Amino acid sequence: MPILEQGYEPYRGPVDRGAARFLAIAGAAIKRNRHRYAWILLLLSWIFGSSVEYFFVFFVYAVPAMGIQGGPGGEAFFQAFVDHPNFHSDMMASQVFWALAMATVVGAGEIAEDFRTGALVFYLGRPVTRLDYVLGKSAAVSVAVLAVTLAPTLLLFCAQALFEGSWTWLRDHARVPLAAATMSLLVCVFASGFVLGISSLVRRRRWATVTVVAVLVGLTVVASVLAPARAWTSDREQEQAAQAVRAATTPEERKAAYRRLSDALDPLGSGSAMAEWRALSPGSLLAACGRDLFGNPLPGNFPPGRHWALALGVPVLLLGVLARRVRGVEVVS
Amino acid sequence: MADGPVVTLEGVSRDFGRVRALDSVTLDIPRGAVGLLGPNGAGKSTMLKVILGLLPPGAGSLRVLGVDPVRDPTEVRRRVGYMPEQDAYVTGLTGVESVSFAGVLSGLPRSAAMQRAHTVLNYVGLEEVRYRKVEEYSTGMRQRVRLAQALVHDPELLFLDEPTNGLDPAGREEVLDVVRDLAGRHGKNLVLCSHLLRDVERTCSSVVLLAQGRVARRGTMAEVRGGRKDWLRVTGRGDPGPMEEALRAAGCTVTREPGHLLVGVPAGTGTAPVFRAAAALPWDLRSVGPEEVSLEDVFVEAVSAPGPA
Repeated sequence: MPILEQGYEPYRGPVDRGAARFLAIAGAAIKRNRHRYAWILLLLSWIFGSSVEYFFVFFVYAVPAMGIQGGPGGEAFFQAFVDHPNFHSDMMASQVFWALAMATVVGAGEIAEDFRTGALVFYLGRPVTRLDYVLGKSAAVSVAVLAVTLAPTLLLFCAQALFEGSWTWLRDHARVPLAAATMSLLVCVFASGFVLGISSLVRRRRWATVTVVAVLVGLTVVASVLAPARAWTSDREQEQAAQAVRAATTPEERKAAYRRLSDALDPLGSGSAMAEWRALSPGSLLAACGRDLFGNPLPGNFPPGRHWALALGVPVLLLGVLARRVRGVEVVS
Repeated sequence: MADGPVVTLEGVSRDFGRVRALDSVTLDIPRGAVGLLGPNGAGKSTMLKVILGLLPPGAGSLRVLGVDPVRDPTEVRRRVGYMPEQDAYVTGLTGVESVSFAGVLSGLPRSAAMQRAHTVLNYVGLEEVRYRKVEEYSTGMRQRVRLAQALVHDPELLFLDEPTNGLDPAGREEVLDVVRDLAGRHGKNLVLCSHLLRDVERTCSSVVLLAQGRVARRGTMAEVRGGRKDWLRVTGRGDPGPMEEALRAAGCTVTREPGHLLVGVPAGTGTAPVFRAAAALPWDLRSVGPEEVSLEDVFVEAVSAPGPA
């Protein structure tokens, strides 16, 4: 292998003394992930899975606009969901699953691999601070999270606004973009803290991913066992709502009946005696925060404030773990 | 600053609990290639951390290329290049991406960083494998890619931490060639931390020897080696016993070594006691010369009895 074939050349070009090194770290992390099969597979699954949101809009707006008659009651069914005050917050809540999955695929191995390969020494031996490093990794996770939370919600909102074409509708839903942005930010903080914090405790990407998934699934299973999904609403109430749908004769009656049915199926409404344990599930926890941000009421038996304490406390705690682990790295050994 | 020292430390101390890692170190690291030596626990790593702004000193002050690393650590790390001893790479990146990324982190624009990455990889002899992922590199290649990462932004001062660690003799020679070329032909200032004294001896013009957190020896290689100028290497033919006795009687210290006598003469007497003793004895004196002290000798002596330089 030839060495010194070409002499050393000094660099005379410009040098950026800016402090935004974390953007370079985030960019490299995103670039590294884009060729991973797991990420591509997840992206395709998300596109397929979340397209259900657009079916609502399609059936409510596009089908009538095209002059196509929906099936019996179909239009009213979708209209009831779209008009429901919880529509946007619940839609965002449904994206939390994808957001956590994205964060796991993108972020779970980031810190673990850096510990294993000494990449932290690579970063910190350069004009990069520990804060730059943590911010950069969080930003990489956040980009993936925003892609599946904020982007589709805003797209949906814009599509609805165009179809509605009324200032009244826009005025009534003016809160939605801001609430969606805040909710997305919250999910970013939660997902980054959760995934990167756990990742910093493991030394291989594979094990970090397994650990994060195990914790997420474990918490959701425990929450579902303690406050079972089937007991969210009483069977009787649900049956009554279903009967009302069957008995409805006019479009207005049918719309009202569907709305009642959607209330009865509210994932946060609970007939369970231990509803407060739903907050153990990260999805329900963030969904509850979303309700607050979108200005929608939480079910009466959901403990007030606790979801915020958990949604902010858990990531802050885990980011603290990450910061401590990063601080402990010896750049010069 | 053009001719002044690249690093200046004044009374720098650093404690870890009850252990004093650096003890009032006052030192100027001159331009050129400087070897930083010391046994484990001597304070080398602590000194490097303080110089790179990764650790504030407990007491004292320092300047690196005229910048205070306590106040502006990132500026110091932007202007210096640090090649760590251990593996340090980002997974999933090829050699050229890895070096280019190091350049971007050091402040180079993206396109310039990529161009520099190619140039520097050519220089360290990795041009043929630049598109392979770094995790697939051999130990020697990783060592070189670390050197390329440290060089990509053309730093004013290079810190090389055990650059030949784990390399086979050929690989070691090649890396030392690069280091010598950088210091010699290109006038790059560098500090070489190594346990391999021979590497330092063959590469550096000056040396700083740390022991127990203090500077035990420092100076140019000749100055450091010349610390035992009153020792003479004496060779001759015949029984050396009477010669030894005569020299001891003249106040010299004598050690018999294979093929020669090592004679410590009283200060200021030069070679006179040797010639006088030889003239009075039936012993054929063949040669008298100053004892050539290796860096290893100085190292062992300094480590066993450290003292301020």
